[in-house]
Amino acid sequence: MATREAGKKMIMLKSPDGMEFEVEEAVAMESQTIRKMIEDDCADTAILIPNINSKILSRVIEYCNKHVPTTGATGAAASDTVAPAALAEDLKIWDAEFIKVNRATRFNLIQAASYLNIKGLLDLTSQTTIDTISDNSLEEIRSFLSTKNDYLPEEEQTIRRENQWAFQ
Amino acid sequence: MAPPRMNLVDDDVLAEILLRLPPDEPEHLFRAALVCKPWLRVICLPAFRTQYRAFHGAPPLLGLLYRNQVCDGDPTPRFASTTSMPDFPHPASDRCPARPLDCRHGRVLLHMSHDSDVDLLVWDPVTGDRRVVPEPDIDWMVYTAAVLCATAGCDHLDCHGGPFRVVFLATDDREEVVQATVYSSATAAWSPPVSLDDSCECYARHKRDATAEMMFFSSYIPYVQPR
Repeated sequence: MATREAGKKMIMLKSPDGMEFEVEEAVAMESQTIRKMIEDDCADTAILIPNINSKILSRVIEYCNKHVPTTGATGAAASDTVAPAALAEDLKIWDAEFIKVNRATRFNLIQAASYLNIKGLLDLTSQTTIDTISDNSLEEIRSFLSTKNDYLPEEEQTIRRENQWAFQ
Repeated sequence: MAPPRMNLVDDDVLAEILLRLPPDEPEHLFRAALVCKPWLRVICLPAFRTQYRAFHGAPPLLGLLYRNQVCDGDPTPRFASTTSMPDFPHPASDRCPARPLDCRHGRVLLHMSHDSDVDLLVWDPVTGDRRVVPEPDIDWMVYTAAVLCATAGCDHLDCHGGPFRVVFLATDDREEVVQATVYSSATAAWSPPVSLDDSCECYARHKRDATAEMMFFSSYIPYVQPR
């Protein structure tokens, strides 16, 4: 049996803090931004990924490795013997574990997913954030996201009074 | 170390997150807008509205308009909200009752029925905009009407305030014909009425069949299904 890596084109991703990551081209192309660079021949040697530090970039690569189509689980797992539904379920469980990160990491992952245009990762990170805040009170949302409330107290009071339906 | 601040997240990333607020209850967007002013700014951007609709697909049902009931006359005119939002203020009043005829592309077509006048009103419940449409030049007996957005290629997800058309179709009160006319908000005028008469083959056949079934009546009256 031929090894999975045989004939795979590799590509080098560099973070601004000087770390280099060698990844399969197919994995890197999970990012639409990188895909475009490769397709436009702007990626001969290494691609510098600005604004994404090595810690976040390694997590992003971990996500892409798991989600790249046809790869399935690493090693000898024979994806053609596993039902697609079971694979999807496996990915869902994996995603749920993957996103158990602190807020700073999650925001950085959202930013990275947005810049690199990785739809699945953007969905996962953004949806998890929304799920956390959508049923909370304003105070809880502000506190959870450490967001500064720049409404004047009287402004907020007036809006709340005039739109009580939204705050019940 | 200070906790990460969402204020430091740029607008595009914030929009990506807020895009996922569930659309079924308008309160989610409303409350998010009151978290802080940068959130308000992002939510109010036209580009965000377009993205939000594209992301969630068909807009949610916001409410129902009562039309008519068989017994006891017209029901109380009201817009019954199906979400936590209060009812939108209905244009009808005791002095000026109104019957909804059609609802499409975010607009409601109402017949402001007082005496025998046909006075049509196009009402946008979300913005509150009301446009009076003059009486069409048709001597009607039974009528029906529809309202639609008139912007070419529009996806009808955000065409509030844009041009619209009203189609009015009626059985003529004197002649045995069905007449139709179209009002354009761009020209503020009704088109010259067109008639559905014997020159239309399928209508002529329908009329022949209907007349043949009528044993005891000598004349056929074309009928328009009222709304």
